[in-house]
Amino acid sequence: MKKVLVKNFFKDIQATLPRLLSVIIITALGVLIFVGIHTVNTNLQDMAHTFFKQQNVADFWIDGDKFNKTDEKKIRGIDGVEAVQSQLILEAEPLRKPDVTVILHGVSGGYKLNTPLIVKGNFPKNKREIMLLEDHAKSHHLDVGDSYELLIKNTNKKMSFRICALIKAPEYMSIATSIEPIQNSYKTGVAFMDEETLSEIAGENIYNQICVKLENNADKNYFKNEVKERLGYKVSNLTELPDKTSTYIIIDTIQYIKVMATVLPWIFFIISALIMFTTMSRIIENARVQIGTLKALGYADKTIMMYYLSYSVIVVVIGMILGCLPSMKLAVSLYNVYSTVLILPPHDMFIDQMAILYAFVLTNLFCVGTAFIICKRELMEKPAECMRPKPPKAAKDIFLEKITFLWNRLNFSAKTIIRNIFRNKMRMIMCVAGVTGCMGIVLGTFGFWDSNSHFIDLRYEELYQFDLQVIINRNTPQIVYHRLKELEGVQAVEYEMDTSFSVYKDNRKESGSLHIMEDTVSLMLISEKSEVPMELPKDGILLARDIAKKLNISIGEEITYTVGTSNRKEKGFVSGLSDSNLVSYMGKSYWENNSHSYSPSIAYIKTDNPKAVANKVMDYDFVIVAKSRNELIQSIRNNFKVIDVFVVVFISFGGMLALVVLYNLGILNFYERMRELATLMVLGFRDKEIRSLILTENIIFTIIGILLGIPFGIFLCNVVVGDSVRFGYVLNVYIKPRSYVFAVILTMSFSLIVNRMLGKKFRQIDMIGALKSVE
Amino acid sequence: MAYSVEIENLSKEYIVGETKIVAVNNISFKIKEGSFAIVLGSSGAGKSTVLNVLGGMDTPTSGKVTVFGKNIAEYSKAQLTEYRRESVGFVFQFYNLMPNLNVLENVELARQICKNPLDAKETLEMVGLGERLYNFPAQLSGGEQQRVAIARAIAKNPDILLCDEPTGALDYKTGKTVLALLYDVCKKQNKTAIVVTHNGALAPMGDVVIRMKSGTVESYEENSNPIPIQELEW
Repeated sequence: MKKVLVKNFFKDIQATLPRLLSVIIITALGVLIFVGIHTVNTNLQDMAHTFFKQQNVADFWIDGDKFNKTDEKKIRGIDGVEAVQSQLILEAEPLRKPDVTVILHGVSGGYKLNTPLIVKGNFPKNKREIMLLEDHAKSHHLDVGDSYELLIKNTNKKMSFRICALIKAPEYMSIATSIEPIQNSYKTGVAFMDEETLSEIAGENIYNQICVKLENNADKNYFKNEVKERLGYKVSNLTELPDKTSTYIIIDTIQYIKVMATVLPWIFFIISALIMFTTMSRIIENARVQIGTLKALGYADKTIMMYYLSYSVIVVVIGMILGCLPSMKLAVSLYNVYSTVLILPPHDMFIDQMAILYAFVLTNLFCVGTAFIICKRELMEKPAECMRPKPPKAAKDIFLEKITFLWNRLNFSAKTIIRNIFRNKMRMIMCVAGVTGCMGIVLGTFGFWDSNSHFIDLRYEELYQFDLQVIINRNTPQIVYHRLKELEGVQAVEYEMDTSFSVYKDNRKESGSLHIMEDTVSLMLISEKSEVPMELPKDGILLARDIAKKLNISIGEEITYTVGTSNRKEKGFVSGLSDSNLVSYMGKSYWENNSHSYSPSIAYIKTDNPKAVANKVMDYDFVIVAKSRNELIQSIRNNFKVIDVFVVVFISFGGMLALVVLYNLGILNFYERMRELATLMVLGFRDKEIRSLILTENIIFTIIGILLGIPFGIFLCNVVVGDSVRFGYVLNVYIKPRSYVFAVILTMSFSLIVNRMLGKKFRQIDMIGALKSVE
Repeated sequence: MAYSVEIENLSKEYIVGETKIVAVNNISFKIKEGSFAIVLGSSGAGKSTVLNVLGGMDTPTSGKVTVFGKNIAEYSKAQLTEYRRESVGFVFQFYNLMPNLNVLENVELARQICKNPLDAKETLEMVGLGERLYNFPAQLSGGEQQRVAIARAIAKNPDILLCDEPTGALDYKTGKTVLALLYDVCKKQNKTAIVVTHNGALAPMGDVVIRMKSGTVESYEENSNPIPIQELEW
């Protein structure tokens, strides 16, 4: 470009920058979300990848009873096996804390597979040392060097350990397991130790799990068959990595973020392209004479094209910079949200450079692309045509006018408004798209929030009919625990016994937990659809959904199962499915009829004065802890606090989107029609009348946008909430009526804010100036 | 005969940047009710400023502007809007029609906010556009558009009709027709009309001719025997 032209360019840019501002803001927002979410995603992915690789995560977990060294050897002999590691997994509870479960892994062969990541300390040096999951240790205020006394479940064996390391374990990225479906580091812990440590309990060289890592291109199906062939009935379950939920959850999480990372930024990019389209059209139309002059002077089309394309390049560059700067902050705060839900190893966040590159390409495609199309269109005209002002767009009769009886009833303002709306269809599409986007994002976000809180309301508010939950020692005799009923102020007591539960079908095993309830429950309901009181089936089991699904079991089918640590295979009928993915239910009579003893661990109490009763029950030796209903629900709600971050971030993004789009178009509309408005002023129209004329359009667009935004919001909510699982229950999309109202009010007020800002602009109209000149 | 417009010691100053520009410097004149007044002057003479003040689009720096007994120089912004609404009909050089409304609707638009408007169709027939009622401005020639603008101004049934270079954007012949129309309408309805122009050749057609120069009134002539526009040549 010639020097003078460059000088002119910078003067032009200075003059047009305010108009380009809205495109810059929207582009920046799009880039921010795009780069931010992709950065979270890449970091999680990178973290998971290195973590899986460094900790040498297994490809298969073989569960079974009493594996020995020979079995291990048999597996090692299969073609394609790279490494094998046997372990014994037992459950224990800390002394005096029976509501806490610590999963013990006695590992053979020096932690070659699924190696714990040591955050602090060293690998065990002797039989008394264990490595404890860091999060669990912290919630129990334990540190390296402290001792941890554990009671091995189903035995009376007490063991005292020394904590030699705090760890993160790749097998436990999430500890929201069957026994404790709510992720709670206090209630669930994991410890790793040498196999010898546990051998005094189960015997030497006895294992119940073999982990296997295959060579890179080994045949997995061949391996699976060989395992069955070589170990036969000893194998109860063979889990492949993607089915190992507690490990693979991180990969699932990444998938879930990917959806968000795709949908949201596109809304912004598309809208930025639309805004670019209207703004650039306007800018270039204004510059017609200049373009014509340049052409007449003999400048090549290419030079002129470059000149105007540079506008959009500036938008892209500034938008990219403004978007990228805060994206790391957004990424970190989102990452922190995930680190409260998952147990993540320490990780240094880095920005996703590829995402920046993609964002750069995308914004260029959208912004520079639209600018190119418009320039091309304008450059096709001959110089002489360019130098004449564009003839005004002829108004045409619109279809509505054909419905004469309706049309004739409208007053002029209505007619002008309607004709004007249809005269500039692009602007209509834009405005509506902007508001739809805003409404969609706001409603979708509210829906996301509602779906979660509705889930709590349903699951917990409605199911928890008791006032006090009392955890009691499992080995308490009936005579003793029945004392609870006699207490003053206690109106009713119901008991629950929890145990583990495995179902077998076709050589496969699925585990979950089994809750044995009273035959008629009225304090702790098990289904939100149930009547109060609810009768449990007398002749069968309510099976957990996930187990039924994975083993393809239908209602009425006879199943084979084991309970607790017993190996006795029992048979029973499935009389229904439970609401939970992981918990199965059984009535007390049915349980006792199968010659089991009933030893409850929880008592639910109905009382008018939970505080007083709680104080009294704590005096009993057999009572471990008592918690009121409110305390329990509050702690569950706290788990959801993280969602608030998303809600705030997305609602403000949606709002900004609407503000920018509406304001931008309002301003364009305002400048385009300045002359008309001035005419109306001269004719003696009052300010209010003029304002309503131009602002009604915005309101109409807002209303259409809101209407379209409702299905869009529901769609977004479906994408984000989907069939995701919370605490072992499927989360359903649910949007409260109140949220529709809020979303409408919010979107409407964004539009009104814009109208206020535009209204102020009217006072700047210079009647005389506007009417004097041609343009 | 009463005066419809009386201007006394009118001054208007603008501040552009740091310099003060005196557009109108202490002028006074009167126009009788029902007369066709021509304000002449080259660009920058201050004639448009006078018209804008008279039309309630601008307020003077000092002086009195009495229109039918009321001093509009003291009016507030809202009062000026009401004044424009009820008392003034404006015709511009560039017509300024609403592009989204057809001819009839453009006239109706102005009528709907007045108290005693004239019938829109009749007014349009009077300006010779009875056949083009449903055309949009973009479908009309410049002269036709200006006639719509005149009909719009007349239909409000205003006290005074103000025209700022009404023929400025028209060719010689069309300009003549439009001026003739303005004159006829003014006489028929007995309206005071003030036409601002730089074209000195139009002077003989006015009942009153006010010549302005550099913000002052250079001369004020009453013309007892105006010559019809058709007989003027320039």
